[in-house]
Amino acid sequence: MFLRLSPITRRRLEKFKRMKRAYYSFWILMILYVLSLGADFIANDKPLLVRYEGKFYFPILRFYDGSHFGLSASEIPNYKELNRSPAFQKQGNMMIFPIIPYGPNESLLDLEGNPPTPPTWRNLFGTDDRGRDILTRLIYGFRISFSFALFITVCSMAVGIVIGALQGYLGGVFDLLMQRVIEIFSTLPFLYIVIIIGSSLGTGFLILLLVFVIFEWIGISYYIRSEFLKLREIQYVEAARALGVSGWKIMFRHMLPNALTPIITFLPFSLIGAISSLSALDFLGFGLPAPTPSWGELMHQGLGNIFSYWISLYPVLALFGVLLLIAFIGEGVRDAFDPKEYQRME
Amino acid sequence: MPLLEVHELTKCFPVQTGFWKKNSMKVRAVDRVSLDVNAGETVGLVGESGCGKTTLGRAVLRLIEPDSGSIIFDGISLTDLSQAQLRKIRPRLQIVFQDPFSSLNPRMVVLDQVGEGLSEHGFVKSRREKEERVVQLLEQVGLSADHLYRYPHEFSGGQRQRIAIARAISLNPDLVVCDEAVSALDVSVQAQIINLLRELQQRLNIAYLFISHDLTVVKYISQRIAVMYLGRIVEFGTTQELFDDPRHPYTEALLSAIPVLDPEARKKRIVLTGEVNPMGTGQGCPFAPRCPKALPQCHHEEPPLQWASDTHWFRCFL
Repeated sequence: MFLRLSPITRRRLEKFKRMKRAYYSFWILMILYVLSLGADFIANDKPLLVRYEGKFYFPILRFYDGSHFGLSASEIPNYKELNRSPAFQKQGNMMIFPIIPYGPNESLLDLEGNPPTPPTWRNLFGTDDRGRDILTRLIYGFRISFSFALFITVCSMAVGIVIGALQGYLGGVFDLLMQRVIEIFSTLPFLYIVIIIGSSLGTGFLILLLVFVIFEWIGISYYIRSEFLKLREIQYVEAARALGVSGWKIMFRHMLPNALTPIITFLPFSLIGAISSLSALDFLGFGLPAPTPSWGELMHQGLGNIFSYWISLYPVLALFGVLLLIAFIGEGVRDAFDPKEYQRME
Repeated sequence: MPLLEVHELTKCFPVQTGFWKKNSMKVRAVDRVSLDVNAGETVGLVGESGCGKTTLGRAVLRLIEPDSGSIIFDGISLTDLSQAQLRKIRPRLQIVFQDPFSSLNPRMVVLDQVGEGLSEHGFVKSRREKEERVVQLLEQVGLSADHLYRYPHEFSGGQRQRIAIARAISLNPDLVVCDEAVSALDVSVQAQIINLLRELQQRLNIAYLFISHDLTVVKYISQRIAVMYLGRIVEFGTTQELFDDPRHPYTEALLSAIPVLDPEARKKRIVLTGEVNPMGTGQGCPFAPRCPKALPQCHHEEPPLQWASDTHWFRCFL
């Protein structure tokens, strides 16, 4: 299906490309995300390359104990200290640091004044209340929140698609029971549940993921259910049944590809929802455990240091920018999938 | 023994009315229908729209579950089979639908649509074999290997119907239900498709249950014809008998509506009055309210089954 795109899909892709705002937003976001996946090479307190006594070392890729650099073997080398030490300052030894030479959890101890310090040429976006570089934390925070949101969306879509598809295809008692379960789930207040679970079971990555998925799949299952209810009556589905094709194959080969429109148009908006609720949770302190870099956590600090504008301004701008980009993409996707233009083909 | 024997088949659909949906009534879409189809034979099924022809066709294949009655296919009782057993026998019973635009999946190429059943039931082992067999099938229905990787929207209505026929015959079926298979096509294309169906029947010895509302088409293709009115079969006989000697007033009315070329030979058209009420009273003959020859007992007594000949029966007091 993905190798030989059907003509409908091809037309939709072309239409999406023609919508410049959405198309460029898509590429900007993709480039930002790919860059953030390589965040370790952009912002790190470890050097990219060390040349010591004629040998090369790559501390980001591999761990070296202190013995490599003339320290004791039980010591974890602090490369910045090492760089300044007289033993290192010899001919031929050198270190190359990434563009932003700070780690996400590194407290800068040599700042002028007390943290949080305002933006300077050294720290473009300033530092937070523990002296950590905000730009670095924004980059790492983007990687975590976007990956997390993608993960949640994909997992919840998978669950929502399977349950919605079964409801629509089987109908009857299963549909009725699942519909009641969904009603119960959708009345539970999401944030409270997360907070209650977070305070009793702790806030781990997996627990958070699980709770998110439990709530997120409901939205998509409605769409899939109604699409499948509609498609079940269509003749090519009946023809497949008459051929003796098995239920799963009918559902996933005949019905799902024809029910993808709501899933794909829903996807960007579901991403937006996931990113913003994760930020909200981090803001409240019930998100990913500290010291994970996160935008919500920065905003929380911003609230505590209300006069240090840079702590709250940059994460808010970053969040706004990313959500706007995704919203543009979502808008473009929705237009590209608008069935009115292709009524003859559908 | 006939290939297909349908006995007292019934399918009702509930109709709920009122705010609390309590006064549920039933539409008897198929009402105690008995029918038989011999191997290699075409049985036409005619009736006006909404009389349950399509429901009957689908119930015979158990695409919708009948409420009661039995379907014996080649000695096997289809109504007693589990879904898994049913899937195994599916290749022998196929269907061609009315609308060639919705009967093909818009996202699958011809090869995959026609070849799906082949690989599903292990008729072909490899992709290559599937391709070869699908090309054979396409050639049988008047298409060619060039069409293998095309999508349905690239074809005309007649060509799409040919693809649907190729899909139906791909598993060497014994019986194909043609559900208004030519009704959505132009008259010239209709003739091509009907001739194709006849040709395939002769070559592959397929039996057809040919559902249509068009008497001339049914007359042309069928050996025997069943006339249906509101879920009931009111008359069943060979084409010859039915056209020469219609016994049921509804059949008479239908026949009188066929346009005749020769003005001298024109008969008086029987125009039916009244409206079709599918809810009905459930009593007496369903046709009684509109029947020009209705007797008093028609309204509350079930008309008896009468035999005009060994092969021709009808349900009427007359």
